[in-house]
This record gives sequence, C-alpha cells and structure tokens, in this order.
Amino acid sequence: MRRFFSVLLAVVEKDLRLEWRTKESLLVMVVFALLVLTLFSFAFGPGGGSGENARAVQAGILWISFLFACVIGLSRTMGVERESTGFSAMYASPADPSALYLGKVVSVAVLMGIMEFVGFAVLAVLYHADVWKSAGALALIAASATLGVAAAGTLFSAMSARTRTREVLLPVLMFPALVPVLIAAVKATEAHLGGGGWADSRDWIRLMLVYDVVFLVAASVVFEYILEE
Amino acid sequence: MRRNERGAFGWLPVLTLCVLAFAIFADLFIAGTDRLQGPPQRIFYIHVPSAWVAYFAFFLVFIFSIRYLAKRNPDDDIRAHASAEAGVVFCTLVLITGPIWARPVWGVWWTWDARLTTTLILWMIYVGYLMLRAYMTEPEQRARFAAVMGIVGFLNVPVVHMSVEWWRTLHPKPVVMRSGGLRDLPDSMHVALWSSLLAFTLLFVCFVRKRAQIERLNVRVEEARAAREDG
Repeated sequence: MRRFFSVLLAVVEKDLRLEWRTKESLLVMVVFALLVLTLFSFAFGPGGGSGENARAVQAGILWISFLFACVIGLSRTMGVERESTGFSAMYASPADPSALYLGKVVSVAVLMGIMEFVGFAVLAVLYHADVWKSAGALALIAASATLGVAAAGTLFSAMSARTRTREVLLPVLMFPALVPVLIAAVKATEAHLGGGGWADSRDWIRLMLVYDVVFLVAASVVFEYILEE
Repeated sequence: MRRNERGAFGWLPVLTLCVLAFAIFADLFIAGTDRLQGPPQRIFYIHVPSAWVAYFAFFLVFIFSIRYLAKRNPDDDIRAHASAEAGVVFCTLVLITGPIWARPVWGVWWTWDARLTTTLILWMIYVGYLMLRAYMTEPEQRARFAAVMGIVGFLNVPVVHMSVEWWRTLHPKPVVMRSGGLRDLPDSMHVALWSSLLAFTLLFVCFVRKRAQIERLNVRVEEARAAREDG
C-alpha cells in the first residue's frame, strides 16, 4: 500500500514539476477558459442574458468552458508522455498501472482546480455572480465534478493520444461519457448561484460522487491494457 | 480458419427473410389500428424492437470486450466490432423512427425525455467507439483500446440514464405518455410486436455474422499482403 502511494505521488510530483518548469498546459487552459467565458457573453448577451434564467445560463457557460479548457490540458499532459516515450516507460516499470493512472488523475485534477478557481473569480466579476456567499458548496461541487472529468479524461486521452488523429478524437470520446457530470455540476452550481441551499444540490453531488467512484475503479482496472505494448 | 463460414448457419438469412416478411405483414395487417394515435402508432413495431436490439448489441460489445481482454482471442475483438457496428445501425434506426412517430402523435419531432436522451448519448458513445477503431492502425493495440472503450462505455449507461432522468424530472413533461405497459396491448398487437422483435434479432445476428466474416477475410488479406512483402 505504501508503495502504491509512493508511485502515485511520484507521478503527481513529476507532472506538476514539469508544469511548473514549462507552464505549457495551465496557462493555455486558464486563458482558453477565460476566452470561452467571454465569448459566451457575446453569444447570450451581456452577463448571460437577463431574467430568472440567467443563473442557469451562467452555470452552463462556466462548466462548458471548463470542459473545453480541460481538453487542452489533457491533450498536453498525454502528448508529453507520447513524445517522451513515457507510455513505454510506464509499461516497462514494475509500478502498479492503477497507481500510475491515479497519479495522472490527481495531477490533471490539480491543474483543473487552479483553472476553476480563476474561472469562478472571473464569473463573479464578469457575470456579477455571487460566488463568495456559497464558496464552500461551490468548492465541493467543483471538486466532485473535477474528479469525474479528470478520471474520464485521463483514460480517454491516454487512448486518443496514441491514435492517428492524436488529440482530435479526445472530445468525441470524452464528452458523451461526461454527460452525467456536466448535468450534475451545472444543476448544483445553478442551485447555489441562485441562492438555493443544499436541498437542491445534495442529490447532484451524490450523483457525481457515484460517477467518480464508478469511473475511478473501472479505469484503474483497465488502465494496464492501455499501457500494454 | 474454416474455409466456408456459411456452412453451419446457411439457412439463417432465409429464415430471417421469412420472419421479416411475416412481421411486416403482421405490423401492417394483423395488428389493429390504434384508436388514439391512428396509423403512425405502427412505427412502434419498428421502433421498439430496434431499441431492444441496439441495447442488446451494446451489451454484447461489453461481453466480447471483457472476453477479449481475458483471453486475447482476436475473434472476440472482431465480434465486438461487428456487434458495435450493427448496434449503431439499429440505434440510428431508433433515433430516426422516434421523431417520425413523435411528430404526428406528440406534435414535436423531439422531446428531451429520459429514454430518448439516453439513447442519443448511447449512440454518440458507440459512434466514438467506431471512430476510435477507425483511427488506429496497429490491430492488437486497437483491439485493446476498443475493448476498454466497450467496457467503460457500457458501465456508463446506467449513470447516464439516472442523470438524464433526474435532469428531466425538474421540468414538466411536455406530453403525457400512455402508461400501462405491455399488459394493455391487445393480442393482435402482441403478435406484431413479438414477430418484429424476432425478425430484428435474427436480422441483427445475420448482420453481425456477415460483418465478422468480412472482417476475418480482411485479416487474411492483410496477412497475405504482409507475407508477400516479406518474401
């Protein structure tokens, strides 16, 4: 068990150090998320339109921009593995494949978390959303959604990175599988942005946690077949 | 490899055609016309069996994918591929017949009903599965990746359905669907439904067998080509 976690942490450390030195993924992710957040304002009118529907639109805009941005981040982190023959190294190493997978998930989730922090702050400013009042709830929602996105995204990007079309296939594989997370995250975020309470978001958070567990377990089991050569 | 694949079940396409002919006859003439919906209700006999066959096909993909990873028999990969392809065909049929039926009966082409939406997402997942296969060249790696996709995609279906159902319960149902289920169907409609279901299932089996046969031939062609280039 200790070995498992030391492998996991080694992968996280490697990925984050690489990111710290190159700053290749995070910067692009954040800028891209900001861009999408801004573009949606032009598409739906300033602040995501007016009226009672505005909160729902804002929650949707926020999560769609996060999903789009994380496609970029995922392609980067798996692209690096492909270019530096990281996959072969992982396969050759005696480390447990599920520890390698979970390490990747954690490092992707950390990058996404930072991006989401900025995204929520921008939402508060550009869309006049009351983010701070229910910051705790939103953090919990973001954490459970991010885990799901990272879990599915890591698995699918490990596959798509090694297809002929490279990263192009990632959204096609990933987005349909992420529908439950998107629905739940948007609904829960909408509830808290609109001043609603836990009663409206509790079930959605539970749904995301179920998704996280199902995906993390299933993907940990099958990840060794992805690494195989 | 067997020389003549047609040998064992050569009669299957003939039987399928006969059952299909009977099913079409039953759908059009034996089954009574629905008093509320009129003739459009007959799409039911194509729509529902297609849906069952599609879900069955994706279940088979799941099973063959697990078997492939466990035993590494290339034939399981071919069967999973063939099932997925046939499943997507029937799933497409569901998504086409659904709106044609919905338009005259509900007044809209599409409603974001839980089952409809789940089927749409299912369709996208397996189109992704086929695209993943199409964009990979190395057969052994393709088989492994596809198997992973076939397993994860299927496990995801209940979660997708649950999420979509909750998502929809927050909105008013646009149209009241008649409930009561299969028990309320008159006998003539039962004949039509079950014969259609049998016909579609047989058709599916024919498709999968034919597709798998073609794929095995493809593999042999590739092998022969590789052998010639080596020699």
